[in-house]
Amino acid sequence: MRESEEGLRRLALQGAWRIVAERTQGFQSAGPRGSKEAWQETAWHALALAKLRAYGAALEVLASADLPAQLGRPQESLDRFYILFQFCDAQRELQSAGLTADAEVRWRGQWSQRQNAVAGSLMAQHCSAREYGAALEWVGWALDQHPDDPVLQSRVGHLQLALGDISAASATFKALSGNAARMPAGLLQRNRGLLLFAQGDFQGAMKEFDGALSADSSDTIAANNRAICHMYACNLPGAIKAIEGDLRSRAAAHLQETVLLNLSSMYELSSAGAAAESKRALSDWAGRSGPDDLDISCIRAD
Amino acid sequence: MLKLPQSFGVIYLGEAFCTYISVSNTSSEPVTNIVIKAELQTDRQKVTLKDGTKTPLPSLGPGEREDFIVSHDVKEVGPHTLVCSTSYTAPDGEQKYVPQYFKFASHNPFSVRTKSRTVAAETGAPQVLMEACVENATKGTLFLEYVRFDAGTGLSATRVAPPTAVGQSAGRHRSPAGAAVSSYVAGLQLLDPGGAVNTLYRVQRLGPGTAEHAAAQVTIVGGNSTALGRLEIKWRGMLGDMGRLQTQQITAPVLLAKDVELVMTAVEKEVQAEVPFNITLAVRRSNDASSTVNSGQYTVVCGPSSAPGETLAEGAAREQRDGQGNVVVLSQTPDVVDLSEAAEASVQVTLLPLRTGVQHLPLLRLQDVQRHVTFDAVESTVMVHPCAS
Repeated sequence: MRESEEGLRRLALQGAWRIVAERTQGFQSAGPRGSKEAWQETAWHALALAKLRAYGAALEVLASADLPAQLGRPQESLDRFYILFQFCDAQRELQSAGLTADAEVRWRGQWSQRQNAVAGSLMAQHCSAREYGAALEWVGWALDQHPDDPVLQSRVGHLQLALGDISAASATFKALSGNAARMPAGLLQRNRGLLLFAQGDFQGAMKEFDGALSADSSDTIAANNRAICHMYACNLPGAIKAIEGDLRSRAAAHLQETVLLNLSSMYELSSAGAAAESKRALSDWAGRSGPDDLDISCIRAD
Repeated sequence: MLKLPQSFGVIYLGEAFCTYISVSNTSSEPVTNIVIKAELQTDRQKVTLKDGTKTPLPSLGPGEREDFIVSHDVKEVGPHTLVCSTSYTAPDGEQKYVPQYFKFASHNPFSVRTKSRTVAAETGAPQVLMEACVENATKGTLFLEYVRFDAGTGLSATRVAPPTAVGQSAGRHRSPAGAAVSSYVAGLQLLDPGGAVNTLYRVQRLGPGTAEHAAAQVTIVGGNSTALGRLEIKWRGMLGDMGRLQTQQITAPVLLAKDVELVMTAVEKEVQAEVPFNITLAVRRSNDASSTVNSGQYTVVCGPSSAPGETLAEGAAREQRDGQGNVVVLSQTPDVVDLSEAAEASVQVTLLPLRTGVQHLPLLRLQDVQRHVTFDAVESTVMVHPCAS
């Protein structure tokens, strides 16, 4: 029996991607005249395969723009995203005969939303390739659509930090601080924390990340970065304790590859002998507790 | 989200090598009198990063640790070895020494190529145009904070900048926020892997009358080259990690370092036929104290060769008789300049153009009066228009 859209969404939120893949494997590959349900099932199946890192199989199911990058062909992904962006542009401007004024507004709004999503993917692709100048240009495009979005404005600061332009990032975050009321919980403190970290004030950065966690204890970025600050302040045991505590208290939020990678590196530094045992225990626990798409190979337990 | 580096990675000359070192007692008994040392060895030298010889740790219990962070600016290309050693007294009283070695290599982040061309200026001092090409030899994008040329002793350098173009994003609405980001990106000097930045500098001797000129001597390298200066490059990495490099001394042929020089300081570029015009020449002596020929009396003579003692006017008449001059010299004021008291003197030469069109001025040579040795020469062209009648 075909799983409902709502059912698949629930399974996805639980991280049960193997079940999603099983429940959608009987799909009929949607052609150009395929029904909406067929296309949805195709998309879910491809998404589940991608989440389980079966990228080649996912690409055979659905020509997705981001999958070639996962298969070591990042330029192909970039090219596809640029084509998709232009496609969304063309669709938004398409005059659809017979549409009412309201329907036309909805049509344009829908395609603008899709185009924004593609722009976000382009930003991410350029960031992965460390092409921060290009990523910034896409943030600039997004700001043209949403000039008061504090998340986008923060993104400018983050990219400036990635480039190494501390003074520009400082000016960006300072300008943002007047917009604090509109910012998601913890973003202001995370921005300040990153800036202080870049400036070498690890104790100050820790306090800011603590502030972000007070606003939202499931803030994985703040939790991870706070632990890194412990380490840079020459407190390796404190760093390990911080990450282990966060994982124990809010596993669903904090169980992510970067956190596991950092903890694994800390184990290796703390003791050559006991590290192997600690990493094996972490790998076993993460494998049992984490979602299907969690890549525990990052722990390097072997 | 911040991520710890997974390996030593690639380290570049000019960057800071920074490492977290953790020393822990993994045995079941305490150890005493612990001396921790960290050294960085290369082919050429050994640098001590931490030396606990004078402040040994009294003891480390089972499971206890001593952590520290060391940092060192990488100044050599090639293999490096970080040697972390611990000497301690074991529970049985035995002295133990445990070294650990971590190897990595440092690479040059840039390939720098320079090209110099000496240009004999028509007005002002002779100058060297120095072009530098700085290419990113790393695998990542580098944010260049600056590329700067620090001129050598007795010289000044100015960057020759191309006209800046203001970019516009035509055809779409720009919010102030979006336009600010684009403008910021346009102003960044980012070097992609393999990318290069080219800069051009004008290098000339410091002007007379300046305090620097009085004190400075231009450095001669190897007898036939001038030390122009060094290129300094500063860049930023992720989260502001700074890198800084200075090149070796960049040299050019010894045109700049003259004992006495003749410089055209004022010349009209467009004149009328059969109407006299003036040019002004400066005769300057260098401050090189080792020179014995700086002082003395000098005169300006005309043409590639002249008889000993021939004046400027006599030389000009000879040139005209020989059919070589379409611009002839009428007079020189003063006839002789004396550099024994002052470092610089001015000479005004009056010339008469005889034919229209682009005409070469006669070659003007600076000779000392006693030995008739030529020290320098200048030449130029003028556009001669028909006489307005």
